[in-house]
Amino acid sequence: MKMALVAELQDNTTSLLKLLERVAEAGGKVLSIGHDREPTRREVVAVTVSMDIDVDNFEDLVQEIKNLGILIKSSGPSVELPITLIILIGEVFATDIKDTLDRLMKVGADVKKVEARIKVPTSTVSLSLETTQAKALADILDVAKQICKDKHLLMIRS
Amino acid sequence: MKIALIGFGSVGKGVIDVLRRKTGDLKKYYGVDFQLTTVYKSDGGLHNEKGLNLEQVLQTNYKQNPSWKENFTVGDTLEDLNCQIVIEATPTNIQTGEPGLSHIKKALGSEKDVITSNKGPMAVAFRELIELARRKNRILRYEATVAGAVPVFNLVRESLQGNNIYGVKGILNGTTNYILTRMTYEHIPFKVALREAQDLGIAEANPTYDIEGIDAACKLVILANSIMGINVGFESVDRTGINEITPESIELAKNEDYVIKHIASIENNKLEVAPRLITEGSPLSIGGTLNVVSFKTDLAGEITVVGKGAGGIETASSILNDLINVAQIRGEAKRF
Repeated sequence: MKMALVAELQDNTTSLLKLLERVAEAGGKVLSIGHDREPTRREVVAVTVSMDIDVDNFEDLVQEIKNLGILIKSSGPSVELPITLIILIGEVFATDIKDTLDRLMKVGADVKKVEARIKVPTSTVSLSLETTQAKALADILDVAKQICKDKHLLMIRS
Repeated sequence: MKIALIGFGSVGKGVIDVLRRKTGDLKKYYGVDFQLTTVYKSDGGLHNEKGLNLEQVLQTNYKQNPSWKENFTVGDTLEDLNCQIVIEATPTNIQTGEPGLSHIKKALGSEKDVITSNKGPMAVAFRELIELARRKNRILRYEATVAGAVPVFNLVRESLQGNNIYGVKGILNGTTNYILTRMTYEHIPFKVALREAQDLGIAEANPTYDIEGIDAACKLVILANSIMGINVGFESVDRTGINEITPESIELAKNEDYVIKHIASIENNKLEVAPRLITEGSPLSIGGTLNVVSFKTDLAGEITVVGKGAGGIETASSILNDLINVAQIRGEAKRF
């Protein structure tokens, strides 16, 4: 079964290697690895590892990684979700678009594409977002909704 | 079967016209003879115990009609009126449901079956009215309250029995669909598309109810209560209008093969009316003034119906279906 976990690792190859070794020992076949580097507040990186693995072995694997002192931010079935498109309308730039993107990425959104039509005062921006976790998608949309409420933007989602 | 009609606007006139046109077919195919004996207006009514002349009702000024009776009002006469079915087609008030709500209660309370196209009473007091109908052993039908001519409630009642419906999504307002369709194909801003719709009579002079999603929200509440058994009111709908949609957003949506539609949805027991990105070419991307309703079911999968959501004759079509249905249940009409 396709499963995924998001682990917070020290930003070096040794940490990642140790994690991947555990995956191999548990009988998992790694399908993809994604990185989400935090801004330089601390040298950590959230790594998403998607794998093909027996469900029982996956649960044991997650526990083993936790026992090593590694923080698991989320774990569960990996769902191939289509790209989620959201369109924001309003003072998207004047209300700090970097902050908007950072807040979305913090909850697991992988921003694949940004397209903008800039006008004053109302701009229109489309964001193509990807995630491999169904729960994360719901969280992303909730956060996007809150951002729009805070910044008085209209959000149109797919 | 004797019928009383409350309301003489476009829907009321549509009902009379449809009854006039279909008299022969109703007799031939269903063995039923509907007699419209009363048409109520706010200041009086047309009444003839033997049945009104439908042609005359439509053609002549109602006060010059020999059947016109001043002060023959709903309040004074409905309770004791000799009729089996009341059609309530007065204008909608979504805050109080009145005067339609009182009309329906009076009719059910005086042992009459009721058919309505009036969203207000059904959105404001759904459970109360259903319970009243049940207690009085009366039939209450409201197909015409949502999506005009499109069969929604009857579809679920007759043809999706045994299915669990766990989601509903659709375009329930033809005005906003028209505006967004014009914005999409003509690349015009919202205000221009709205003005065009108003010039054509598709949008009201005050279009608030449509463009702010109030009309769609009302219909969604009826769907939620009726089809999904969710006890909710208008205030539970998360509502966003279409007036801030920009031509640029439509263009960006199109770049990713989407169109923007004003979608009313019930998902995970949450009710929402909002602009949404809909895949181009999918059933929900229908254009013009059409309405569309899509049900997510556990056995039949996704079932979608499309059709005209408004118009006197179109709405009367749903009322006529309900009329025949009531007559069949009461043993006064045969199945086709």
